[in-house]
Amino acid sequence: MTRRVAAPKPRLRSWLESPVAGPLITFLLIFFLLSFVPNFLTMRSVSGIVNAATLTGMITVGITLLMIAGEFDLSAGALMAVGAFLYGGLTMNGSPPLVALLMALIIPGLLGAFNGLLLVWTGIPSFIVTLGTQFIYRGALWVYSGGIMLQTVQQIPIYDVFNGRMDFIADLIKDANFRTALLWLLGVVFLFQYILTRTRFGNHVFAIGGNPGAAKAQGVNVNRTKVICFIISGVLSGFAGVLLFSQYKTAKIATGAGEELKAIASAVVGGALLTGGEGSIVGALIGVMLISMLRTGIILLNLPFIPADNFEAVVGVTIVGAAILNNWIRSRA
Amino acid sequence: MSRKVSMLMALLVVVTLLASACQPTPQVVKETVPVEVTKEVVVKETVPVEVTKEVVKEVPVEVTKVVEVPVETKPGADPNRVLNLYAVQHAMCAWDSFWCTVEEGIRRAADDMNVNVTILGPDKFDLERVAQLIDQAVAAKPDGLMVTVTDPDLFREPIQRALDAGIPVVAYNAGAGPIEDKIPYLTYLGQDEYQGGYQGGLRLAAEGGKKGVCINQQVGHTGLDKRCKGFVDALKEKGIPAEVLAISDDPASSQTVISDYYTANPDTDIFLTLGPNGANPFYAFMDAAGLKPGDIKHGTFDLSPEIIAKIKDGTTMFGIDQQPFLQGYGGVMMLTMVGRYGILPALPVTGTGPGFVTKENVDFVVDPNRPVNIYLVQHAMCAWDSFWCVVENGIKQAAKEMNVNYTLLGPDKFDLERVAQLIDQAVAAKPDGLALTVTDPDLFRAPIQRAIDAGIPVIAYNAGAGPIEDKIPYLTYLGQDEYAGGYLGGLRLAAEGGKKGVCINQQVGHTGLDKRCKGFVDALKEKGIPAEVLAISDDPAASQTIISDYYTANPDTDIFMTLGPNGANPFYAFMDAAGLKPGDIKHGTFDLSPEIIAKIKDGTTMFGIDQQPFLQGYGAVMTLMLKVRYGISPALPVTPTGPGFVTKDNVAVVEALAGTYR
Repeated sequence: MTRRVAAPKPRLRSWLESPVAGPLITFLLIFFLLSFVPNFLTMRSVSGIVNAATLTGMITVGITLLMIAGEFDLSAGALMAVGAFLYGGLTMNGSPPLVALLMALIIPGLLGAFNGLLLVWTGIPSFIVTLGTQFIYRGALWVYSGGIMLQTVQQIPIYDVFNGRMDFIADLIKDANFRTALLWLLGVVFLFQYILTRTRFGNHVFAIGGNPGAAKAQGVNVNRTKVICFIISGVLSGFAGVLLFSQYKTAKIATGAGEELKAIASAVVGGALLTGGEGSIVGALIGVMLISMLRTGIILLNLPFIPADNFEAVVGVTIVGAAILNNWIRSRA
Repeated sequence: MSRKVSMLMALLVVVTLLASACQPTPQVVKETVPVEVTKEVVVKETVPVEVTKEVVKEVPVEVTKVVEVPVETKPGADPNRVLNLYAVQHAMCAWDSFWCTVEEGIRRAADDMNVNVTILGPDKFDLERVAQLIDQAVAAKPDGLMVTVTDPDLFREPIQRALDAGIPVVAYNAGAGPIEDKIPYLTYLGQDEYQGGYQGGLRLAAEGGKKGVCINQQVGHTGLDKRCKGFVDALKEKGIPAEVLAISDDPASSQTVISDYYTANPDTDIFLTLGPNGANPFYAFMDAAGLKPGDIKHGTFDLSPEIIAKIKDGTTMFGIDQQPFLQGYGGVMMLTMVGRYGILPALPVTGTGPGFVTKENVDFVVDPNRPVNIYLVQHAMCAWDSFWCVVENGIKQAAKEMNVNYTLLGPDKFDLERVAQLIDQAVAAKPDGLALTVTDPDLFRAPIQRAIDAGIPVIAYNAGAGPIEDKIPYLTYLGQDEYAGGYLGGLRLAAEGGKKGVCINQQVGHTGLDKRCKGFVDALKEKGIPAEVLAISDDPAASQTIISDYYTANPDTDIFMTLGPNGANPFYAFMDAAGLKPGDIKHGTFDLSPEIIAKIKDGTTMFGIDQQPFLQGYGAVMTLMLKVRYGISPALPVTPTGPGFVTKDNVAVVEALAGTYR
């Protein structure tokens, strides 16, 4: 974007070719439409939209990375629960917070590695592998926890580090209830956006997703790259569990159920291709925000014919719509 | 390949080791998301009881009985406390034999539970005197009071004085429940008239039929009309037309009315009479018309020597009994639960009847000393799921008090196939009774049926949906009535009015949760307050924002109901973010968690609804014991143990007894 030498038209064209273009245009379009909804442009709504997107957002980063590499991780939601349980259980036990954090990242990471190794060693599609392992992980969690729900009312400083209130903002701007989880999410998004676009590993991810055969011929270690992507997805899922427990101080077996599908939907809205080789982390973040924003907009609309318990359908319609629009923009570019 | 497999195994071992290094956790919450199978709502209607059972004989002298020696007691809920209870009733065994059964129930319960009960009653039917006796009982500062609310208007003030003095009060035998009587006592123990007619109708129509008639000797009497309504509803449900036939006090003309009706409607083959006064001319009609047992089906309310003879010879399928023993026994039991564990009766009306007297049990011989050996089979155990420790404590306590031998079977991990095997194992032991958790009706149907076929009384506890919905003919299910929980919770939240209510449902489509919301919405609508359901998800961050958005769009919402810790948790986060203070809005929730308990204490949350698992275990043993020794069957397909409301007033007790009794 800094190349000012390029002629105006090609510059626009090249921008449209970027994977962020479609989602961003959709986002702005819907934002414009929703801005007419009463109470939408208030700090309470805006901070609500952002907060609602943090947990899904964290998982979406890993999922998007995998989708670019041409793989799926349906076990992400289960790993989020694993992370939440380990982190919550250990901090409640009085274990050192750092140990709790590390366990909540390492164990989901190892389970992610297990997903990846199963995939590369058996050749079973990752969709099937992780479809199976998500049940295994949740089942194991059931045994580990004894089926009980975890909850505490104690307040440990580390909870504020990961998902505390940012009171200084709320003090400045009324109703701006942003939380520290947002900073962690943004940090992770920009870290992986950098890794994906500016490092050799990132190149490899795109390469193995786009054309594994060619990538292999170029000397890319396809298997190792895939396993690393699965580990990243596992660690980020565990971290989502950490963020969750830090604010809500509660974890149960069903924690994160369906989170992986929302993440895949966000990634798709954000421009990732189900077939791999294309996508962007920032785009995925836009996707998550878009879905969150829509839900808020629909509830705020308070339409008599969409009862409060059925806004999901509208969100679903829009996910499909956004994906179609993305494809259309991509094909025009 | 083997190297890969061993590496995968090694990875798993590492994970397992790491995970096991992180010890399981101290503070736990057991969610009570209701079992997906649905439960029929039994909170049908409250029931005025026919008071006039009296055959007034002249036995003077005010009878004051003291059961056991009084012992000093201390206030506050305490599991080991010896309680002093008072019972005030409008008639006495000394001059009305009906009451001997009630008093026997009181005495047996006092013996079993080791409490002292003083029974007060007038020496003849004199309601003014009864009102005085209530005051007399209150002056004695008892730990609990049971009263026959024969005349709610007359008794309202004395009972209110008892309540104001902090004495728990239940009504028995006569009353209509706290709502209809407009006296906020805990519950009324008596017959559920509608259910009597309804269940009687279901029995009569079980094998089909062409037409049914309810013979009502006093049309306009609320209780009798309810019986007929239940009967007609049951038959209509089975696709059989049914109507009400009015007869009078004159048996001769009544017989003719029945006969004329039968002539005009010769296809009528199902008859229900509402007591000896209706059964008597009905039998005369049968005799005159030459109808034999088996030509038609007949059931009746209440018993008389004539009715018992007709049950024996097969003319009459059943007589419906209000089970007065249970009114006495249950009253003492409930006051004991309140005094010792802070466990409250679930519903405004606790059905002691209908109890069905049939050919099979008409000759039942009561033996209070009969040894009772029961088996209990449950899908989880205290050993590995702390929720169940409370249930098992209830079992243990009841078995000890009532001198019941029990064997408790359960799998060593969640394994329903294994539970099904354990049921068979229990049946093979030929117990006097069997209690079990009907976690999976389809899987358990065959083994439970084998128990029933072997003549073993079977009841369900904690998990199940009642014999009708589970399609297994066991006696009753002891568990939470989800609809009633939502409904009664809604009434509490709306008691002081409100503008708009919302039920926050974390799993729309889950039958049990949907029933909670339906009850809530119905209660608010009844109070003229609009209410709807708001769907949230498993993601607390998204859920918090959904609630916040809903509140922004509907800023007049001031009544919130959540269905458990999973809904309450993001709700509290929303309140916090929106800067809402306790008192700005009203909030009630199902279930308890450390967070909810803290919020009840600080006034944010009005109540947490508890399913009272202790009562599930205790009640299971008690129900089977009553069946084996006294021939008493549970009145309703669902015997609710919850909702039990935990409020600021009793949260300390609940917290103190948490994990053992609560």
